[in-house]
Amino acid sequence: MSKTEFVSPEGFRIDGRRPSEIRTFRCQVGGVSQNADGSAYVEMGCTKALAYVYGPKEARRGAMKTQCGVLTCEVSLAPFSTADRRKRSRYDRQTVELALTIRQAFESSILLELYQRAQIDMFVHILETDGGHKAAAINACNLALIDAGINIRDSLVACSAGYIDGRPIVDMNQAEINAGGVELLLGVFARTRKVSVIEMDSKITPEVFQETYEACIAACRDLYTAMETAVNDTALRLVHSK
Amino acid sequence: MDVDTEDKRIDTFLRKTRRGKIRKIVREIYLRDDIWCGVFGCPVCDATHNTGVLTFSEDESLLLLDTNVVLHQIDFLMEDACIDNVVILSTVRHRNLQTYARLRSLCKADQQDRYRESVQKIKDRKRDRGHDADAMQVDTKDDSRRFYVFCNEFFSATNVSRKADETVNDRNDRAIRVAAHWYARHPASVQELLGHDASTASKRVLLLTNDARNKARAAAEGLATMTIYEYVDMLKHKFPNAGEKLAQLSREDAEDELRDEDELDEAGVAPSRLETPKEPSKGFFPPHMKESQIRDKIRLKELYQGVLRMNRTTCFEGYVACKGVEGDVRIHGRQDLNRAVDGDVVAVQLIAADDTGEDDKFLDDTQEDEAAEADRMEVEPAAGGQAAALGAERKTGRVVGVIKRGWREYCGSLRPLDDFRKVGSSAMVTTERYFIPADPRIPYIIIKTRHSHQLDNKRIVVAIDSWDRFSRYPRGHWVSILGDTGDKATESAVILKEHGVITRDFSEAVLKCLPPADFQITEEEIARRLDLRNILVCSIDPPGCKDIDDALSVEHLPNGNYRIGVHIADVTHYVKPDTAIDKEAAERCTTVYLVEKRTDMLPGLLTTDLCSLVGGRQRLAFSVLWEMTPKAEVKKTEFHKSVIKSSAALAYAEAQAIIDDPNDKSQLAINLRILLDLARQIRGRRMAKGALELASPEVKFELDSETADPTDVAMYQLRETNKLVEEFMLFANSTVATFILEKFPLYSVLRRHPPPKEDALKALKKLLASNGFTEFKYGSSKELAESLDRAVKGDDAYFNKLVRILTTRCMNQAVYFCTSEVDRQEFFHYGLAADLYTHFTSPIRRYADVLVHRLLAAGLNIEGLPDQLSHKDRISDQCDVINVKHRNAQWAGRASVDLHTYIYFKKKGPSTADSVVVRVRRNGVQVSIPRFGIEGVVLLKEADYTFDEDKQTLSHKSSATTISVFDHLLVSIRADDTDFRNRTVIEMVRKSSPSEILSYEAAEASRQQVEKEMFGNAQGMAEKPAV
Repeated sequence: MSKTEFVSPEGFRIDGRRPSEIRTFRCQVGGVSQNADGSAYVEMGCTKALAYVYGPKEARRGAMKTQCGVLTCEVSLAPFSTADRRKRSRYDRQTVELALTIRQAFESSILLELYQRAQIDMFVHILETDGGHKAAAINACNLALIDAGINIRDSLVACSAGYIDGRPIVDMNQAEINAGGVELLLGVFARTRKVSVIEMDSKITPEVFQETYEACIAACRDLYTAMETAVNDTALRLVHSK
Repeated sequence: MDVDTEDKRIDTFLRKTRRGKIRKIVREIYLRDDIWCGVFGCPVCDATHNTGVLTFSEDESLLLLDTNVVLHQIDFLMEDACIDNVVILSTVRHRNLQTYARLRSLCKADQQDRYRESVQKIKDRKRDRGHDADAMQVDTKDDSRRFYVFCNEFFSATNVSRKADETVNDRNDRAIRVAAHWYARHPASVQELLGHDASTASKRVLLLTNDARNKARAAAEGLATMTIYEYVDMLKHKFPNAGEKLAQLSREDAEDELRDEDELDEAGVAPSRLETPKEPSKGFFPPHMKESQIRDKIRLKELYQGVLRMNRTTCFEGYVACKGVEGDVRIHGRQDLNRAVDGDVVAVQLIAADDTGEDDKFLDDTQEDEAAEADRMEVEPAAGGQAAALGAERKTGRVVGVIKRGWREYCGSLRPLDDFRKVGSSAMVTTERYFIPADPRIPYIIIKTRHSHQLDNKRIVVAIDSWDRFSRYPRGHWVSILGDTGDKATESAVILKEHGVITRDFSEAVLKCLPPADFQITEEEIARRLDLRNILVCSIDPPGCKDIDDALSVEHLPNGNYRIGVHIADVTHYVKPDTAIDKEAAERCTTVYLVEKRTDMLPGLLTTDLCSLVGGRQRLAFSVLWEMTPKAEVKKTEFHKSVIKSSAALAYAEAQAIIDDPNDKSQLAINLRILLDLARQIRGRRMAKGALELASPEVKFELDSETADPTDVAMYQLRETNKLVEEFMLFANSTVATFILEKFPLYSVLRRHPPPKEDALKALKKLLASNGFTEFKYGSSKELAESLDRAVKGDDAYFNKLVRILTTRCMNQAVYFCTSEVDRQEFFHYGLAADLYTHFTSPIRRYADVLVHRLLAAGLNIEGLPDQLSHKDRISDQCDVINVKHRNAQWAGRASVDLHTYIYFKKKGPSTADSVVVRVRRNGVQVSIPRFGIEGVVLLKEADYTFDEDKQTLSHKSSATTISVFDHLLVSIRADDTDFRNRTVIEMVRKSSPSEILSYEAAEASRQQVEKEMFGNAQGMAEKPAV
């Protein structure tokens, strides 16, 4: 019983949320950087991520493809982003892996065939992490791409979910992740509901997966609503300011 | 300091990691509005969300509890009727989750519904409460007290952030006060709505706190507040029994409290006689070191940390196995133990050893009374355990601090009052009483009670609350009454409770997992399984056995071979992983057999009905099938989930009679004879490999130490059919072990038996040599087995038995383990001379078998590997739990046998009998009494005898008598209940004359007779041999 109770009988998680509630989602579309062609800032609870998009621009010689555009992604985890201050190298396994995940996810989102011989670069900075920084990074990229005016098929929304004490919980914070249970990362297209990113390391039964998956999809839908409002607001503001 | 926005609060705090690094933890807390007050009929909250259970009325306060009250007075809160209409704040949870969970268990899920139904009833009851005040114990099952958890921490209206100069505790106190204010105001608005006077509303919210500062602040802020003592006092007229279970806080704790003990005395409570007031600076014990100091010193290796284990028979001496110190550290004497109790994690300082060879003593297990004790304080009752390895140097230490208390609840009785106090003490006056725990490792506990006379001669359960350095004994409060002292059922309940056996009824949730009582096996299920219903299957068990978990079959194959089947009840079909029933079984781990009582691991429907392979009914089974040649060589092995229909559930004697009857030519008889023949061959092979046979009718436990049943062991030896069943079960277990290990090299659960302790065997060899038997070899289990067979002394029928008993003593315990935890070389089972062994054949009564069933099913791809078996840590944790529970079950079984021995001698009166010396110590000898089949210690006056350590003899100083091992002594046996510890005391009369030594047969006959008397109506022990 000394084990922490992740969902109390009153139905609250350790941070006061209910199992199906996501953390406060705040975002800013554009205006983060003047240099970049597109930028966005995303906050999911205490997890904060910045994304910059450069391009489309002429591709580097070596990377240039004639059939479609080239997408690159680089992720950096700020040394002060975690509880332990630690400087990570550029080739840190965790960040390289995340960069790869993001690149692959957006290769299916961006209409790259429109950008022949061109290159689009995405840079993600995780400023602070309290769990779920992968999802925050993907969401930030998505908004930055919209801000940059890159053609995308659909919005890609990502969220994490876990399964603790016999029920799914969404958008886990670090304390919940530290419990060592299931962690599922899901990136779905908002309209088509197609899954673009799915990541999970734990062994679970199909039933548990099904439950977690459904909870995660629902959370993505909630996130999308918030993102959609933000994008619309930004667009309206831009229209009015002209 | 915390940062706030309107919808969330950020808590930041620093935390030291295990490595000593300081980390800053940031935690966000979401604040919400959808939290309700829980007051029944509240037009704001209850109207929208039906959460109301509490009452807000003129004549009843709404209670809010401070953290310290919850923390220290949990037993009181759990059961005392005066605690009603309570708001449990979620702030309280910060301090101790376990206590919080216990408290919250009071808010039952269906409480609301029940409350609504019985609003009227409760009102009536409250009016009548004065009448049924004599009901001592609140029946928790019919507990209609009202509790509500208010998540104030997540509620925006009661949110409190820590200020820059505020400690965490101060913040929590403030949070509690803020919540109290909210309640005071919230119903006020309600009252206004209802048209009542709002000004009195705040008075009806009462904050109970024992913290003086918090109380003062609350009062200053205009909150109604009381200490728990004041509250109990106030309600004395309504609840005369209230406060019975209030924890007795130590003086050190009490400094924070509003009143200390002395003030309580003034309030009309009997003055404390037991605790004579002392100078505050000069306590009875030296103070404990501060926590931080201990931690630093442990790092510097000035102190050592370990769990204190008391000697089995005393609370004055214990051992601590410390990290970083070789061997155990001995701690003896009250002063050096410094208030540490068995099971505590303590910090130990090593002190100069004064080892005087006290290890060779038996302990007198009576706790001396005060006067005698005072005399002996200087000369501590130093005495040693039997664990000492011969010749090893023992370190001595002193406890300087307790890192973690290992207190549990203890069973025992109150020490009778002295005569003069008996006169003075009338009912309803608080008296301090000594509580004598049944476990001699625990010191007396002082409790305060107003029902002293009602607790006399009862077995009660007591919890320790505190032990300050001014008190010679710890203080506690009683928790429950088990029954009358000396009553057989009560004493058995004590045995179970003391051994940590779970005796609660199966919960609703568990029973919901059961199939319906009229459960029928479906056709689809049969289609999935191997249908063996047309095969002749039978089971052989002790007479009257209800939980039959194994059955046997044999078929003739066309090629002249046999197909042998061992069919085990398919418990895992009904008990699915991680369901409530599985969790319950995983916690119980084993069925516990006492002499007259069985405590099941699984509910009765499974144990005695659906899983039990009774004759004539179709049952689901997990079968091991071998193709064997008539020479008992295995050609092929198969495992199947099957369905069988046992033709006959035989008792051992019946089976034997069928085999022995030459005229019986039935298929059953033929099959049994084949099985017997094969079993003999398998057994022969196993014996040739060196399996030990230590079990004999005199020994109360066999090698595997799995049954504590004397009657059963005796029968077990009598018939060949016992061996037949045992042999096939062993064989099935080994076969399964090999299979699962191959499939899951890292996740299997096996059972290993380490070789015996070398030192102990060496000592035994020396002893035997001095008795003229020099051929004792123990290099391998085979050599040992042969030596045991040869150890015969012409004139003494018991010699061989005793050698076997002594050898058994040298053996290690067999244990379950996860195969990723242990080196492959250590997997083997010494006693059975098996390379691999596990438990598969008794899933009804052992949880390890359930695990093995699941592994086997997964290995056969019948089912997936459940979560519980796919994490090494989880498996090995479960194995540890099983091992502990198993050992406890054995101890409980033995304690039960001892209890019945005691009862037998109490009825019979003192008797004399011939006994054989098994072991010699400085101050006594251990004897075995063949006539009664019991063993015990005979204490002798140390001053009268000289002890020869080499020869293991005691010689009387004035007369020429010498006592050595294997000598026969005439002893007297009587029952003794000093301190309510029911013991059988054995005293020496003189050495036996040859005529008094019973012949082996006579002793055997007498013993069987005695056993029949002792365990006459024993049903619980109708157990099968453990294989």
